[in-house]
Amino acid sequence: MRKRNGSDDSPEKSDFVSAPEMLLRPVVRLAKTWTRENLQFVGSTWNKMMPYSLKSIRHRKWRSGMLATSVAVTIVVFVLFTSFYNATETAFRGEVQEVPMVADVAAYFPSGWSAEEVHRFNFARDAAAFDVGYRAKIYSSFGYEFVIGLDEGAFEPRSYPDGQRGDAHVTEGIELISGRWPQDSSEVVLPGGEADYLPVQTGDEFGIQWIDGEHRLMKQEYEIVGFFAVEDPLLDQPITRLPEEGQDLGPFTLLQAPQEERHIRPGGNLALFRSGNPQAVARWIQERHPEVQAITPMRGQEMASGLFWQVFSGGRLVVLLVMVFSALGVLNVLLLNFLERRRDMGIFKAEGTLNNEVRIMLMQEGFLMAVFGVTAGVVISWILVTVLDAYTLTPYLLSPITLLIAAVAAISVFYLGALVPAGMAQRMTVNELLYRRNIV
Amino acid sequence: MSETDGNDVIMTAEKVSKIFLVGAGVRAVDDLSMQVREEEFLLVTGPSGCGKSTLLSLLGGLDRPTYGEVTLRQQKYSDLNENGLAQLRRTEIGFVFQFFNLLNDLTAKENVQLPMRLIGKELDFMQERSEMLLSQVGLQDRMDHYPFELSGGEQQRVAVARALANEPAVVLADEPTGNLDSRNSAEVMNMFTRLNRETGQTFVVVSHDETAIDYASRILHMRDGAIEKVEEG
Repeated sequence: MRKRNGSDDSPEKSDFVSAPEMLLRPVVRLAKTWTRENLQFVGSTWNKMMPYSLKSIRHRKWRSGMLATSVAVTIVVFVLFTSFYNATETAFRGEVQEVPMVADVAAYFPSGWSAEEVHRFNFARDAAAFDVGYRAKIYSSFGYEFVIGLDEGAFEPRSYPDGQRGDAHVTEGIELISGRWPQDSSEVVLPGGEADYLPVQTGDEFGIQWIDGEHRLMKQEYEIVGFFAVEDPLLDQPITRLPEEGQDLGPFTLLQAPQEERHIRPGGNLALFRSGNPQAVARWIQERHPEVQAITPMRGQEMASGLFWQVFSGGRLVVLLVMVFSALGVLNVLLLNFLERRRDMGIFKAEGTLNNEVRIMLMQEGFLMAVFGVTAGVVISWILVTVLDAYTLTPYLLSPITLLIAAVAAISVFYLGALVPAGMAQRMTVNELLYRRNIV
Repeated sequence: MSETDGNDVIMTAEKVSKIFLVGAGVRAVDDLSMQVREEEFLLVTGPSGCGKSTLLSLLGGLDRPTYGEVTLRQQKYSDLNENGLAQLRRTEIGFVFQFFNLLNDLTAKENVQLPMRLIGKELDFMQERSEMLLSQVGLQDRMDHYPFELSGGEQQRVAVARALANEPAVVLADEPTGNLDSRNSAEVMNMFTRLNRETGQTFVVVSHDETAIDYASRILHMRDGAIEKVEEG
């Protein structure tokens, strides 16, 4: 009769292992590890095996370096994409609602203008942004066309005098930093410094006084319902006209004609109109400009959402592919390391290293390489995002959560990747490791 | 058959068989019983394929017998699980292999320190003992060299120093001269006998080299997985 010898280390093997069981095994093993006794064992083994793990990494410095680099690059790609996505989505979703406004109506310019695709996107996005009240302005051409949306500007890194930094949406001199309107006149500088400005927003009432040859804004007479631009971004031509008193402005109400044609607010003249009847506005637009489609802000937001997801789904796919290939690379290198060192594992075991110690050593090597790669990736990402955000027009919003996710994901990939060779090393006998080749 | 009896027995194999499941099954060790005495230099010899190395694997706990029992200082291997066997190997058994089996990532000194590190010895102790052992095998000037910077004979001497690191009950050497030229072979065998004589270290050496017989205090001849005869050296 064949004598069976005890082994608490090598569970009974069956020929078939179900997929759920395969997935659950590491989880169960991990749960087991989280006992006090095992933690102590892991801790002492960690210290005991550290010199060997470090030596192994150092002696394979090129391979380890390449692996860490690939992980770092993956993290950089992930963090850059996520930061860009976050910044864009933040702007798009209007998470910073500094200018609470409610749109009565949005207008959508249908077109076959291929060159206007961008305009359409911008407008739909802007309309949606307006709907949630972020960086929104009313573009009004005083009775000719009426659209709602963001002015065209650029994101530039700026800071307020109080040190608050952020992306400034710059247009014609106004700076909206991190979604905050200027708090006092010193925060707004017009080209040429021709006027001072009060912090105003929709719903404010104000008047204009001529003091020492300059316009000064005072909150008293007029109600601000929005802002309009010198140039309509959609029509790409100057359309600002000052209405005359008594002029038929359709459904708009002229409270008082401006004193002169000039910017009295950076980014556009103050609009002195209010529509009390959005349906009438829509009708008015349709009658005079049938090519312009009046839509609800909600519809505009839907359209913008569709475009937004289209744009980013491609990027997501690319990032996902990069991460998958990186994970496969990690697994490949860790497996290669093990196959190259299977004799070493046999020696370790022959000298009395416990199966779990061998497993922990291999996991430790994977973890250490992950730490090198993750550290490099996080630092490089942070520097890149900061520099790009500060010195380019593209906004980036780096959140600690993003870095944390990247770090945890990378370490998890290493952990999972190291499970395969560590499991093999743990299961195999000394003789299998030292002398037999058919181990995979 | 039992080839010797005595009170100074340190290791025994009792009716041990090892069958490898290849084809119809290969009986590498066949119902073999033997004993290893303390402080002896036992040579296991025989033609290639007679089961010498398999026997050594069983004695060293690197493999388990299909039948039978191996004990070391009254500790039955069958009572030990894999971890228990590993613990036994790290404290009670030293191995010397034909192909040296040094860790290429480690220096000679670090290789010798490995068994000590596994049982948690202090760094100072490990430094001191590894230097002492390497000096003992004549490698005081090569301590910080990596295995690939050493000759075959030097590597084997490092392996011997490593095997002695934890003052094991027995050193098992599997064809220790099989990969060495005659001069280095003689040096290694002389070193074994010197260490055996000076420190009382028990050696079990497997070799098919006829010249090894001159060094042993007892010789165990194997054939077809069984003991053919036993000679006193």
